[in-house]
Amino acid sequence: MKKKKNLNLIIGGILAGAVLLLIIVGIFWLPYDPDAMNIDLKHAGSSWAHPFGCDNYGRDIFSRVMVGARTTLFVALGTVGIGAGAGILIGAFTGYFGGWFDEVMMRVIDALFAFPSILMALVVISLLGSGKYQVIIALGIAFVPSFARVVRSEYLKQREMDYVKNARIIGCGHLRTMFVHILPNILPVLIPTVMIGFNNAVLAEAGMSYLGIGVQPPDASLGRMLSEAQTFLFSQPLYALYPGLTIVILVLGFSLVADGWKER
Amino acid sequence: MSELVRMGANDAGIGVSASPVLEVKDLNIEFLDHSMPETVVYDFDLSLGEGDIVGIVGESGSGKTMSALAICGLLSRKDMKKRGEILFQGKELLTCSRAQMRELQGDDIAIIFQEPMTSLNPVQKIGWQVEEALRIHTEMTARERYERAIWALTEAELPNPEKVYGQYPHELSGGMRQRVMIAAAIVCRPKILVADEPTTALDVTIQAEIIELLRKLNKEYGTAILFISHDLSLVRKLCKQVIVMQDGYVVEQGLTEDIFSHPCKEYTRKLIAAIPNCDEVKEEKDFSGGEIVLEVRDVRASYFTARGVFGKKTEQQVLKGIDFTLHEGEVLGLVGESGCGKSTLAKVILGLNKQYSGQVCCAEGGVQMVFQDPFSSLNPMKTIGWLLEEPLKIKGKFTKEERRDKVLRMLKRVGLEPEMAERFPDQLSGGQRQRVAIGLALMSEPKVLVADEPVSALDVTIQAQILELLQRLKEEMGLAILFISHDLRVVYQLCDNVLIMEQGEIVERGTPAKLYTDHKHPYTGKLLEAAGIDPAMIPRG
Amino acid sequence: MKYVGKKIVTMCITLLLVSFLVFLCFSVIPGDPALSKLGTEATPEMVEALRKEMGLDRPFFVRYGDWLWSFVKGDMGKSYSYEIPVSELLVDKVPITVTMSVMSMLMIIGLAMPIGLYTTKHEGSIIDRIIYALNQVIMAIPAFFSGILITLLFGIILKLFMPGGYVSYTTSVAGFLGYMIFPSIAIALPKVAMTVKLLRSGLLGEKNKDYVRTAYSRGNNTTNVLYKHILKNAMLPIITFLGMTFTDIIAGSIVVEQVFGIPGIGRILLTSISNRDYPVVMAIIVCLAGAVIIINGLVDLVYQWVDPRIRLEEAS
Repeated sequence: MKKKKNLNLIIGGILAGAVLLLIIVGIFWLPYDPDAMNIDLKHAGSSWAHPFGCDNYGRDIFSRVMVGARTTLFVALGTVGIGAGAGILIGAFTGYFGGWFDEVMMRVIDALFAFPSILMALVVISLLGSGKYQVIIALGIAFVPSFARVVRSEYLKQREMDYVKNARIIGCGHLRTMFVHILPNILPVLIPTVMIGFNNAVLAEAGMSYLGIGVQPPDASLGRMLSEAQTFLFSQPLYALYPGLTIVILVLGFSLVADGWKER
Repeated sequence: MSELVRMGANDAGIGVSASPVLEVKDLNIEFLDHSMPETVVYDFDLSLGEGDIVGIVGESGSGKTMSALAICGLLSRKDMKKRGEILFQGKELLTCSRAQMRELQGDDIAIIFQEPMTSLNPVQKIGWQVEEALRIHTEMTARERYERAIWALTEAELPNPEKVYGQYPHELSGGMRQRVMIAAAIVCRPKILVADEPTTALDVTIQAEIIELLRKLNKEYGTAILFISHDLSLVRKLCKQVIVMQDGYVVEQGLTEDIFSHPCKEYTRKLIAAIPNCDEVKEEKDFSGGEIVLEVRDVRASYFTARGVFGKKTEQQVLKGIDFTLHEGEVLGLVGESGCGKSTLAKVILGLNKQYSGQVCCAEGGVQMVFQDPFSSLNPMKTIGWLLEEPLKIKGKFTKEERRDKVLRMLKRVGLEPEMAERFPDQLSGGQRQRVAIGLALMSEPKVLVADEPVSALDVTIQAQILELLQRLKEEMGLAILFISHDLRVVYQLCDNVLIMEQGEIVERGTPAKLYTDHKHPYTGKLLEAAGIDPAMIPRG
Repeated sequence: MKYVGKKIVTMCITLLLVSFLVFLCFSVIPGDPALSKLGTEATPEMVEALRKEMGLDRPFFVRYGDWLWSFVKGDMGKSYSYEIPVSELLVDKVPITVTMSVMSMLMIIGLAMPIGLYTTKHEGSIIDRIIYALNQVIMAIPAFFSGILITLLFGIILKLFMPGGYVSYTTSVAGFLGYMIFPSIAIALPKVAMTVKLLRSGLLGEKNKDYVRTAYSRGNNTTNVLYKHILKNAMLPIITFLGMTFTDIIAGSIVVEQVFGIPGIGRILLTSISNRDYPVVMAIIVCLAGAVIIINGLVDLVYQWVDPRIRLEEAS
């Protein structure tokens, strides 16, 4: 089995890598100013100059996809950073120590879990207003419970293992046991969870921006582009496909990598 | 399905089996799954007559289980290549269709497995599972099936079979589950019962009961039994004939008594020699003058289980006033079955369980522990060197070079090569891991070592080596060891004094020689009997 | 029965906690609802008077208790912008969202179970691999994008329905249901893919368990082993997953309503958020969270009914 090539990892890596490359290139160089309007190019189709065509203001869609993907990635990374960071801490402490602290935290987490994450984000947005950073905070908070749950159940499992007892017996403190001994052992579960969380963050950001309560202009975002494109679905159906497919390729890439990782 | 009433018809048939029920000739089994095909069984031969009990012994990886699964038709046809012949009443099983094989499975050929905890379907009732073979192989009505299932459960000596019928597996103990497995296996009155390490996961006294049960079934119904085990003394107790296997090859086969009294092959001799025995004369040592390194006074501990959210907590005492002292250089055996509280006691001594009353005083240097399962007691993500170094890092008194030096010396001391420091635990064998675990425990130079069944997960030959190592380390380092075990023979060999523990209490104590020859408490007697130790055999010092 | 009782108690606690968190959030928001209602020209006296009228001057816990009590009685307060009781505003929107959720749930169960079983039985076949690849792609499509694709394919190219031409159930039930099929597909698609994947890996994982070998040793054929032994064990995580899926369906419906121009709960929620119409937002969020909690509670009960191990744990 070991000799078999891990197709998931390879294909996923290529897909996610392609989008990431587009984003990185976009930081240093863009074919056009993504906000430059040109009334002559309104709803222009694909051409060598504008491979994805232009939108209703005559802006180059390709450039806007590059910038929009960057925003989406930024928001997703921020979200996962907050969600996984806090989730790992909460999950580790509750799972490792148990007791009343665990009981209380789990009740709160259960209550938070009852909110669909987008609904949670909506609450936060309606409190903080919309914008890139607000979305990161909103989604970050919304993602904490799911990470905390996974990490907690892993810690619960590992805590009973003999190697953990052994670590305590040879004199490791609780913190050392939790983060030097146990944490590396939950990585096989944690890493795919983080990747899937990243995907969910991409989808949630796009969804919120699509609804107009996420990233605000002038920031371009794939979700916003889709909602703008929907208006012109009759006249310029391809406009919707480009940002949509970019999301799909990015998410597909990461979910294949996550699957491939589990298979290793 | 064969005729319904066949019970007791075979009393006369035992031992005079004319044509064998099962014959295996030149069986070879090959794994196709890997990139390199690997043969796991070579030229296996077997002849099992009606009413015979044949044992297959061997250490892990010897191919004994593979051969048994092949006979039962449970090896994947896709991933395994089998050559040779398996004849059941003259019918070739390797080449017959899967449908034909299925007709025999559960009806004429039944099997019970090592792990009674996982071998039953957790979400189906016992009755449903016992009746399953009947539903597949007979036309019985629901009423008849029920009666037959109750009969099988009764035969398997389950108390209150009607109640068990409606229960789920998790409501039963390990021993009861194994009885259920046996009931489900005999419900169609098979001609052959394959028992694959059926007692390994069970306590000694239960073990003895299951062996008795198998013997009874064989005697009453003439069911031929193929008994697979790593435990030579069990095989000797039960089987008339024995096959010894090693690395896929049959090393020796013949009548059990012949092989045990005159083993022809080196490997068989080694296996027999590795069985811990009680025929050595033990000198009695007096430790009372030495320093007391561990003192346990009137330790009591309880578990509390709450009923419902606001329900009252119920208390269950697991330790009911434990007293003992351990002197420098002494090896103290603690013998008891699962659930007697020995693990809780170990936790209390090591400070992992703080909910207890009473006193635990240990000498400076602290207590360290060796666990039963070397596959879970070492952190799989760290190298051996890192693991051994950690206690020194925590102490923080040593330079990097000193630590490195100490690690290498410890590796040598426990009989491992210095290169092992770079390896990860899963690159080591079970015996090597247990050596590392012992080394890790000794890194901080404790005075006391608690060893919780340190050899029971290992093969017999490895077991002997680890016991030797413990003995040597004890002498070299003046270590006191609290040796927790279920195996009275091992305890006899290693320990200076023994505590017998039952349900949270120490019911008897003394030197092994004295206890084994002249026990006072009935529980000690039960343990000795289950282990097959005859008091008359113990030499008096 | 004891288990049911305990479950109901924990559900009530969670519900209470949710309502408290929501109320807390909306009490600490920057911006005074009285001020925003009156506009910037209002004098401090006017604001004070309105605050008193709206009951905003009372202590926090009194307001919470009051709000909760009237909520339980069915009085969800009055919308700031529509000036009508919230319950009146929501009552005709609820059936729309419920229909959509139920339709997608049925699709998920109806499609995922047979596909999951089929791919397990024919593990490694070409169809299994195609479904696996298809699954991966479908899971990566966000609901609103699949909504747009469905509009493009079924609406604009195949002309099976009129994009944006929502038919109210008061006008024609058949037309309403016909229109709702497409948004339901958009919500259900990624969930079907996930369920298939989970079911397949669950079934394959169970295949290597000891009890399966026991089942074969009794002469069961592959089909029997799959349906009588493995399926019930593999269903346990699926049940939990379907419970969580319900949460996602609700989230999905908010977005998909927007794609298909459906005036359901999601639409009114979004409008209210942009209007800062807090009583409406609070009511919707508490109701949705309540629905999720109740559904998950029911799922837990089903779970313990299927898995005998939990029953014992609770009883002893």
